[in-house]
Amino acid sequence: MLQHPFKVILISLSVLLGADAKAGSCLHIKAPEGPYGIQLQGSLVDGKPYAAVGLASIHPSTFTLNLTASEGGSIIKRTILGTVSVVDCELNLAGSGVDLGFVLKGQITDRGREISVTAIQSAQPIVASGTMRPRLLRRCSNNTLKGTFTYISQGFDRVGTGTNVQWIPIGKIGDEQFDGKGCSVYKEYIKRSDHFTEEEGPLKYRVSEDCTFELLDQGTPAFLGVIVNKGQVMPYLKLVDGAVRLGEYTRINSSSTPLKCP
Amino acid sequence: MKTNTRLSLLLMALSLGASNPILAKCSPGELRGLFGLTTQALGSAGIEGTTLSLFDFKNNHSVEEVYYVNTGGASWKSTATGNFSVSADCHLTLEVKDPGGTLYALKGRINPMNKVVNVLQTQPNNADVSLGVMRPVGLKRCNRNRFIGRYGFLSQGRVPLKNDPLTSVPESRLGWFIADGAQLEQPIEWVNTNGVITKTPPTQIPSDTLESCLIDLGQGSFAGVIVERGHRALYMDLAKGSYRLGTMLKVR
Repeated sequence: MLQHPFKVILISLSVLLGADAKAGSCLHIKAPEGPYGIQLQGSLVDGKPYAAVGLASIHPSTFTLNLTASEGGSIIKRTILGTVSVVDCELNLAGSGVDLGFVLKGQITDRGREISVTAIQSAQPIVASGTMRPRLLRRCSNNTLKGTFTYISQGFDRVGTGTNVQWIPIGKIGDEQFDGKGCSVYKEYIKRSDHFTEEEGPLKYRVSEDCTFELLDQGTPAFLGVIVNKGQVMPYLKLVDGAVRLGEYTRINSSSTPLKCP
Repeated sequence: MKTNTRLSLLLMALSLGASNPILAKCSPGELRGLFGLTTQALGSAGIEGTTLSLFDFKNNHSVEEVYYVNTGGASWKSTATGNFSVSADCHLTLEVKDPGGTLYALKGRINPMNKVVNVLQTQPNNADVSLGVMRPVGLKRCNRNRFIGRYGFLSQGRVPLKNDPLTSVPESRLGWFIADGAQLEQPIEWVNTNGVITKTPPTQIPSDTLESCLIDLGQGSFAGVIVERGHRALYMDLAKGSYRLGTMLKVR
């Protein structure tokens, strides 16, 4: 006797749900593939602060990660190649060849829209964690940033040299409007140690086709960021020597008034 | 003709929507109800303390706060009350005092699209820099069903060394668990303590979801707060000298 189609659907669903529960609901979560933005913040084991942003190209079994880090205030760019594995929502990016010892472990959450990651580097131990998010855009241009964003950033500025080095904590919250043509204007509140100030001004910016962007201070890149989540979120790193600061923009809208940058 | 009129109206509506500055404007009543926040205080020696707060924003510009603090080798829970205002350009100003009269002040920037607020602690005579992201709870009250399912978690901060409690080192923890409303079944956790990697064995952690949307984990070991209707939870380590904040985010 043929089963009623409704019964078949119900039985199939219950089998699926049962299997899902056993695997801790990780079934049907797609393994990461394509371009992902990454942000990390923490410290080196000698206590110096660390922050990084990067763009990872994830393939079914390999990855390439272009990572720019401020390691104790020194800006270091690296390209790391390695292998990818995903088991039960745990992502493992393991460096190979000259990058052996680099491991980035991740937990896939929010249906793959957010991956919590922590760095494990046996060759150069650090304690740094953050987030990986899919880019979800094929390519970007200055117009991708058109709109207004809120941002928050936290970190340290190095003061002094040699044995007299001090790390001054700094935090900022602000807004920034990008005109889509390479000019932005920001307004921010800053707490630096026990001083509280407000600043505002224009900044030029340029967006690369790979969806990384730079904010320019008198023509020199002062911040490097990566556009993720269809341009809704943008982690960024201060690129100035002596600064270890990571921030994140979150989009408010996609409109802008005409702006003029000097 | 009709189609053209409709098209014109649609285009007009779209252009108004695209350039409408009101999209980024806030009304004084922008913040209502429960919001969760964790902050870490940065000093010149690194992380010097952590806080976890549950704010209840009322209609009359008053605000009530329940908070946990872990700093200076001690952690405690307290309450505070005060006032807040929201400007038309979406800036939050908040001041609360605890029962002893100690002031806690914040400046914030509200994202009107998702009600998430970037905040910076602003009270004077404090060299630490504390900031964080305040997130809406999205519920009036909670029960154990609001904190169930599979979550990935990540925490980071500084913890005292077991054999030398006066020395603290950086630590991160990454893993996942299934919450059933009474406990967390945690099959795996990767721990990076000052560059030394360990993997903890499967463990169960008792959990209690309070009606206020605060969570107790490990019978007083961790304090948490449910945000985004239980899709995310923020938490802090309450162990003496352990300044570590974390986020738990649902897998689906």
